[in-house]
Amino acid sequence: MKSRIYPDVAVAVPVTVPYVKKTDHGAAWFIGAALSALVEQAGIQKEDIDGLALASYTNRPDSAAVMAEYFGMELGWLVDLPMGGASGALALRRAARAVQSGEAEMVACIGADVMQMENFKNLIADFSGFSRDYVHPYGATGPTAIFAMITQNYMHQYGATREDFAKICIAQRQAAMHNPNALLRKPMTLEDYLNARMIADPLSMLDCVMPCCGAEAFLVMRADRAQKLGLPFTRLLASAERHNGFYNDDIQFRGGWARFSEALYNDAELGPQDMDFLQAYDDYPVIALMQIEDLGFCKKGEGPELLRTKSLSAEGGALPLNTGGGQLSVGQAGAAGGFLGINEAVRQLLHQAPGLQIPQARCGIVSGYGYVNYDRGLCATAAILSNSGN
Amino acid sequence: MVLSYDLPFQQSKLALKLKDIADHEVFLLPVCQNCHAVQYPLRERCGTCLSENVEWQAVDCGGKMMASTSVHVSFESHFNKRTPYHIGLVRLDAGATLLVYLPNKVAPGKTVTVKAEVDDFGTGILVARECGSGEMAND
Repeated sequence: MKSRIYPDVAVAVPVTVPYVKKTDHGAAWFIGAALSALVEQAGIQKEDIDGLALASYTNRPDSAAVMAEYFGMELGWLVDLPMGGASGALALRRAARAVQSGEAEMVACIGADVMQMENFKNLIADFSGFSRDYVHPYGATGPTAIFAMITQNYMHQYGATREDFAKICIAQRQAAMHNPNALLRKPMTLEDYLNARMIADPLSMLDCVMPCCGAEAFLVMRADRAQKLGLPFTRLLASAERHNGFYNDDIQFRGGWARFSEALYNDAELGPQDMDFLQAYDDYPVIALMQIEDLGFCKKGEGPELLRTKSLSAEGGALPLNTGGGQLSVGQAGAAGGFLGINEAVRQLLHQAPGLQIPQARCGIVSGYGYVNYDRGLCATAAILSNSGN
Repeated sequence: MVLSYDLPFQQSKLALKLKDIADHEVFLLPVCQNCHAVQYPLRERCGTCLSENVEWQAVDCGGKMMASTSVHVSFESHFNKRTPYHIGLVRLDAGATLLVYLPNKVAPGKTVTVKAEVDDFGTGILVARECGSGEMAND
């Protein structure tokens, strides 16, 4: 499949710097590890990379420019993306336009963070102006309490139950059990889910991602360059972003995806029925369910019924979801969480999945979500990728 | 009683104003004098029409409970001392979504009244109580 929006843009060399719960290293170590793996696996020189798109919370106060100095790179194109879970697709979109326009030839897209508990606590304590002034003083430390309310409202409006959300968590755990990079691989039963320690009702421990340390990265270049280098690659068919979508909604029950999904599929000349998988942003299961709805896999409010009737499994499921286990089971390495789904999508399409491989995967959709500032996430993204057709 | 606890950061001057208006007889919030939009989270400039002409004034304190949660585990040890505690999202009739502290849990859809108070930690916060619940302020 070739894209009419991004003709000849290649996404290649998915790299994961293995996740760990704790480390003595700083974020720059993980960024450097990602760069080193990109160079080695692409068979290129560091000097071949002339663009960098970076997302990292814990690298602050250092920006992407500092990383150029740190790692001795001279760059003609640079973006720093502090949009958390939306940053992966934002990096991909911007890098695609950069190589298309000739502003850059080879862009390294990297999400990396050192998000052990202490760092996570510090991040959420002083995340943003609104969160510092109007969220933290209420004891809604971190996004969990906000998502608890979004989840409660969704359950109230659409009749979803905890058993429904368990379907997402359990399906992803089953996928993670096959993924050596997942930090959480212990089998999860419905009983485990329902009896898990309550954090902020209705959300329990098993509804929350585990902060951890690691990095995800990939390269964006022109397809002819990838072919010359002998690199297997995927194509970006279409992508979109929407920030502060539906800001007049009293409480979040949909995201910016609902604004652009129709145009996104039109751009790709495909529909939801053509997608071999959905890699949705899953910091909490309710958000993954909103993406299922808003990206057209069912209508708004029909998500619970979909979960009751369709399998999310990579092994023959009607809607394979987060086929590597997602952040809920792999772990959330800060901003790398926004790149995790892209790398899983690229690997599925290259038939290089570290865990379960969807047979004959040809194209799929990956979505991002980020920046919970006050009472909702602000940034929504999505990208449709396909195999190269070679 | 004010417990010894400092927020792990400095609140903005604007947010500190919530402490100044705590326990006023009327509920005050910044309101745009140009388009009348209520500004919450507090804004120095109107989030609707971008006007700088924003003034604190009396606002209807009634609203609807959108959702609430009981927090059982917090990352901050001082908050953990008072778990479980309840917080909620209120849609103010005057038009703004408020994150509030709830002395008692309120079911979604119930009507509430909101006021600014100073909490146990000495921070100015918004507190909501169910209408007709007989709950007294500062209980």
